[in-house]
Amino acid sequence: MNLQKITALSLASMLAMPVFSQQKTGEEKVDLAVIHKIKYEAFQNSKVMETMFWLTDANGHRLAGSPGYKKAGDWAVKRMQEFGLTNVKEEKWGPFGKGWNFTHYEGHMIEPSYSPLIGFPLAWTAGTNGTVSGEPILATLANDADLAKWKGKLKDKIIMTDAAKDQAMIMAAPAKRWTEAELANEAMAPDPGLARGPRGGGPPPAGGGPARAGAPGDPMAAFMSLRAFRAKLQKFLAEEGPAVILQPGSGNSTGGTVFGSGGGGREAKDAVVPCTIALTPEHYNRIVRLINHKVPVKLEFNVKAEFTDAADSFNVIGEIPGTGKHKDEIVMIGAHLDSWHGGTGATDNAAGSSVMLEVMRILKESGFKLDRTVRIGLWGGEEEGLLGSRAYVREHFADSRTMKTTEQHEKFAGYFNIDNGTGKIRGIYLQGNDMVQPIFEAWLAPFKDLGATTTTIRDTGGTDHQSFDGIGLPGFQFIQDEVEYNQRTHHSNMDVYDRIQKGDMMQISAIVASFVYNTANRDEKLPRKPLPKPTPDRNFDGPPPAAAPATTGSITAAPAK
Amino acid sequence: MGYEIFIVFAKNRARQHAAPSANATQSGYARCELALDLLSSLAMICLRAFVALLLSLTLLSAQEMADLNAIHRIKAEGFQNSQIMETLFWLTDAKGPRVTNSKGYRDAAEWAIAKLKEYGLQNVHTEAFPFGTSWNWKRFSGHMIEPAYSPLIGFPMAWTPGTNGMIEGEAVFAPIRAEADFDKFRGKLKGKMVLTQDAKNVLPQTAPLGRRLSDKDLEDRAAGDPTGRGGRPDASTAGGAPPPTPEARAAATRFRTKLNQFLKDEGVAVSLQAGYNGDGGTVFAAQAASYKAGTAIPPPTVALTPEHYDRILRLIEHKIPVKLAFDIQTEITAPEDSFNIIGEITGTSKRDEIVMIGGHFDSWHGGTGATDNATGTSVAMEAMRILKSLNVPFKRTIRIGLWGGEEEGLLGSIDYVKKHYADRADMKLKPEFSKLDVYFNSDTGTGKFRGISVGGNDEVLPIFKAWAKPLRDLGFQVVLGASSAPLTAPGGTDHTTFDYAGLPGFGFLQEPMEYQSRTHHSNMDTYDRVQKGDVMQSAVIMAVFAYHAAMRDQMIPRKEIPAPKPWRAE
Repeated sequence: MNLQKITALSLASMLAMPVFSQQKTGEEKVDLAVIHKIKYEAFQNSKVMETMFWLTDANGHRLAGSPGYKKAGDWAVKRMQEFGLTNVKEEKWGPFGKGWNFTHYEGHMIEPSYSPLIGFPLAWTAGTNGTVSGEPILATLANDADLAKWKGKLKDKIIMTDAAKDQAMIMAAPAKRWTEAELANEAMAPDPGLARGPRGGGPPPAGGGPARAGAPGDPMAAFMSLRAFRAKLQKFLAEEGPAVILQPGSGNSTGGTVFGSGGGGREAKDAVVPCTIALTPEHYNRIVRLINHKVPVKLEFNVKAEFTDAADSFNVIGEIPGTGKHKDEIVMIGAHLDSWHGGTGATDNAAGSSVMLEVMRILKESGFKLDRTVRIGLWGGEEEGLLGSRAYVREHFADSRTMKTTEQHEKFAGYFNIDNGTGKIRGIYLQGNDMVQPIFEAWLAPFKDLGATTTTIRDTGGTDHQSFDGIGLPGFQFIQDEVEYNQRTHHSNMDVYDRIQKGDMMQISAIVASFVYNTANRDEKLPRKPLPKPTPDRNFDGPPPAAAPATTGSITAAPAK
Repeated sequence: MGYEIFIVFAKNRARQHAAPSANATQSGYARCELALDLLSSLAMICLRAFVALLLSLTLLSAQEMADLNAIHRIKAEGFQNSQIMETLFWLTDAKGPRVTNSKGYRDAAEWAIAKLKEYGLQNVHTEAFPFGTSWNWKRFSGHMIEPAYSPLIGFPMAWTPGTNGMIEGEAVFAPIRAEADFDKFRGKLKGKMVLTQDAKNVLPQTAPLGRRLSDKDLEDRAAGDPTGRGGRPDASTAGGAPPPTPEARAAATRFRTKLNQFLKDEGVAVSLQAGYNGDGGTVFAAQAASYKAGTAIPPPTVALTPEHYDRILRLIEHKIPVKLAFDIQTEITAPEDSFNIIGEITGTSKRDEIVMIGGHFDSWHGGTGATDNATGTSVAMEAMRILKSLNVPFKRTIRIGLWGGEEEGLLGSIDYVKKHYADRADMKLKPEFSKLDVYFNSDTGTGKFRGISVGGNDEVLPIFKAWAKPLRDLGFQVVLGASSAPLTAPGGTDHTTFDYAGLPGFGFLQEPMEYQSRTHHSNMDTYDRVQKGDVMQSAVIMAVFAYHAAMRDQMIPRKEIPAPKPWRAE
C-alpha cells in the first residue's frame, strides 16, 4: 500500500470515529483509534509470515520432546526478547516422557515394478536399523481375534494391518470458508437436549470427509474402548517384532498428502513399537491389490528414528507488564508450539504461535498503555493431550481435581487461544458464557468488514483454552475459516508453510490484539461462569492424557484434537 | 453386400421387433430364424441377387439405424462380465509405468499380447517403428538433511541419468532464463543441487478437483466453436494453461538442450524443478532430455512437490545453508526400435476393410500411467473382448492398435499410418488407404464417453447421431465438431494422426474428472484414480461404435484427401 492510500485510510478512520464511538453495546466501549493503530501495525508492518518461516521452514517440525521442539522454544525466547517482552522464559513441566525424532525415511517398491513409496514413520516407533527388505503380508489387526490369529507369525515381516483405503474422486473444493448461512446456523444455540461434548472449532468438514466421532452411544466410551485396544495392539506389536508395520495415511490422505501422528507410547515403561509407516493410500492400496492377486511384491525401507530418555518439557512464557491500577492482573494469550512431524506443523500450530507472537509485537510496537499485564503462553505437549497448558493452569491457578484456587486465579482476566489452522477469524465461541456475549459483540463490531461477525454460545474443544475453561477461568477460542485444515493439513505431511494464507494470518493478528487490548484495559475483568465442581477422576473437559493420540482414522475421529 | 450379412441383419431385425413383447416372441423369433436358415439352404443363389437388390434399395432410402439387439448384448457383456478393472490392474499395479520401450513397456506388451490371444483375436503381432534410447527408472530417494530433516517427494525426469549412489550437496538458486545467464553462474555450480526455477505459488484449492460435464457444458460444446477439435477437454474448461504454440515449444526445446549441456558441463550434481502442476505430494513432470540418441544428457534431474521446492528456495533466500541428498538410479540403453501392438477379429464379406480402435500403450513414469493411458488401452482391449464374445460374423475386420511413442509425439501411430496408408508429406496413397473404414481412439483419462467429435466431417454427423441415440441413458449425449476446422498438425493424441492423413479418425469427448488436476503426467496417475463405472461405459460405447462400423453397409464417408504437408510444424 502506498503512502497516499495510507493517508486516505487514516483520514477516513478519523472521520468515521465519532460516529462509531457512539455505537455502544451496553457500557462496552471500543477505542477505534486503538483499533486503527492495531490494524496499521498488523497490516503494514506485519512480521507474522517471517515468524512463520522460522518456525516451519527453518526449524522443521516441533514434535513435543524432540530436538526440533527445543530449538523452536529457544528461538521463540529470542524472538520475544527481540520484541521487548519481559519475564521471558521456558517454564518446565513434566514428566513428558521419551523424546522421539526421525532423521531419515525412504521407502521403495522394488518388485514387481519400481516405485518410490510416499510416507513417513509414525512418532514413537522404532527405526529399521538400516535397510530392510522383504515381501509384505496382509495381517489385519483390528480386534482381539486378529491378535490371537497372528500371534507368533509376524516376526521380522513387513506387515500391512489395514484394509485398502478407498479413494473417491474429489468432487468438493478442498478449501472452504464459512458461508453466511453456515455462520448464522453456528450462531444459534445447540439443541439443549443434545449431550454436551467438545467439538471442533471449524466449519463442517468439506468434501464429505469422515464424520467426527459418529460412534453410537457415548463417544467417550467408544474412544476409551478404542484406546484400550490400541494399547493392547502396541504391546502385541512390540512383542511380536515385525520388521515394519505399514498403514495407509489416516483421515483424508490422498495424492501424496499423508495424515499420521503417533504410533507408540512415550512413557519410559512403554515397550518400543516396531517401525510403523503411514503411506499415501495409492501406494498402500497398490500393494494390497498385488498381494490379493498373488503377484510377488518386494519392498524396501530405511528409517532412522531415535528415542531420548524420558524427560520434562516446557512452555514458553513472556510478558508485557501492565502499567495501570490493575497491573497485577493478567490477560493471557496462547497457542501450542508443538506439532506433529509429517510436515512442519504450519497450520497446527505454527499459525497460532506466529499470530500470538505477532500480537505481542503489535501491542509492544504500538506503545499502548496497558492497564493489566499481558502474558503469552506457547504450550508444549498439546498434541499429546493439552499437557503443557494443563500443567500451567494447575501450577498457577487451580487443580481441577480439587478446585482449590490460587490468588492468581482471582486476578486472571481472560485467555484467548488460536489453534484451528490458517483460516481467518469469523467470530468467537462463548464457551457457554452468556455474560461475555455483548462484550465480544462490541469488540467484533469494528472487524465486520474483515469478516469477523459471529458470536455463538456454543463450546469448542480440542485445544488449550479448555485447560482454562475447565478450572472456571474465561478461556476462549475463535471461529476460523477451515480453509484446507481437514482436507490437507491437520496432522499431514503437507502441513507446511505454503498452506498458510498470509492475509488471514494478518487478520487474526489484528483481531486477537484488539481483544487482548480490550481485556487489558477494561474496567472489570471478563465475567466468569460459576466455578466448576472438583473432578477428582477426570480433570478436564476432554480425553484424559496418556499414550500418544491414535493414528488410525477411527481414532482421530474421537473427541480429542 | 454379401448374403450372409443380410441373414445376420434380418435376424437382428427380427430380434429387435420381437423384443418388446413377451414369450410368444421368443418362439416367434426362433421361428423366424429357422425360416431364414431354411431359406438360405433352399434358395441361396436366386435369393442372393434378389436380396441384394432389395436391400440396397431399402438402405439407400432408409435412415441410419442402431442395432438395439447388438447394443443389448454388448451392454450385457460389458456390464455383467466386465474384465476392464482386471486389465487395468495388470497394466498399472502389476506392470508399472510404461515409458516407450522401457522394461515396463515391454513387460506390459507381453502381457497384453497374451491377453489378446486369450480373447481369441487373430493376427496378434507387433509392428516395429524407429525409436531411440529407452530409459528405465530403478530408484529415487530424496532428503533435506539441513537445516531440518525432511524426506523430499518427487521423481527423476525421463531420459536423465542417475546419481551413482547417495550423494549430498548444497542447494543453490540459479535462475537461468536465457543463454545470457550462463556466464553469471559459470564455475559456481560444481557439485551443487541447483534450482533453476522460481518458486511456485501454491494456492488453496477452492474448486473441486474432480469434474463432470453438465448438460449445459455439453450443449455449449455441441454448439461449438468452429476452431475446436473436440475429443479432448480444452484448456479453458479443464483448468490448464493454453498450450504453447509450436514455435514457442521448439524454442523452449532448443533452450532446454543448451541448458542441459551447460548444467552438465558445469558439473551440477542434481538439477531440481518443481512439478509443472499439482501440489500436496502430487507432482506433474515428464522428461528433461530426449529419447533421440545424440542429444545432450543433463545432470540427474528431479521434479519435486512444490511445497518442498519452495521451502528450499525460501531457505536459500534467507541465507540458511541447505544440504540435500539424493539417490537416483536410472538406465539409458542403446537406441532401438519400439513397436505397436496389433490384433484382429477377422471379418467376413468385407474382411479386407478395416474398422480400427485403439489408444496409446505407453505412459509417463511418475505414476503408473493409469489414466494416461492404461484406461484407453483397457477400453480398447475390453471392447475387443466384448465384440469377440458376441460370436457374430462381422462384415469387416475389426483391428486394435495399441500405440507406442505417443508421449514422445505420436511416434507409433504416425509410423503406422505412413507405412499402411499414406505419408501426409507426399500423400502418395498406399493400397490400404481406401480400405481403412474408420479409427476410434480413447485417450482422455478415466471419464466416461459423453460424446464424439466428427472432426469437421458433416456426412458422419447423422450416422454417429443414429448410433448415439440409444446410448443417451449412459450419458452419451452429443455428436459435435461438424464445423471443426481441418487439423493444422497432428497432436494431442493418436486419432489426429489418422485425420491428418485424410483418414476418418475420431476421438471421444470424455468427462474431465481429475485428469488436469491430479493425474495427467503426475506421480498420482495410478489405479485408484480410475472410476470403474466410467471405464465400463467407455468400453461398451467403443464396442457399439466398432460394431456398427463393422456391420454398416457402406464405409464411413470421408473428407476430401488433403494436400501434402509436413507432419510437424517445426
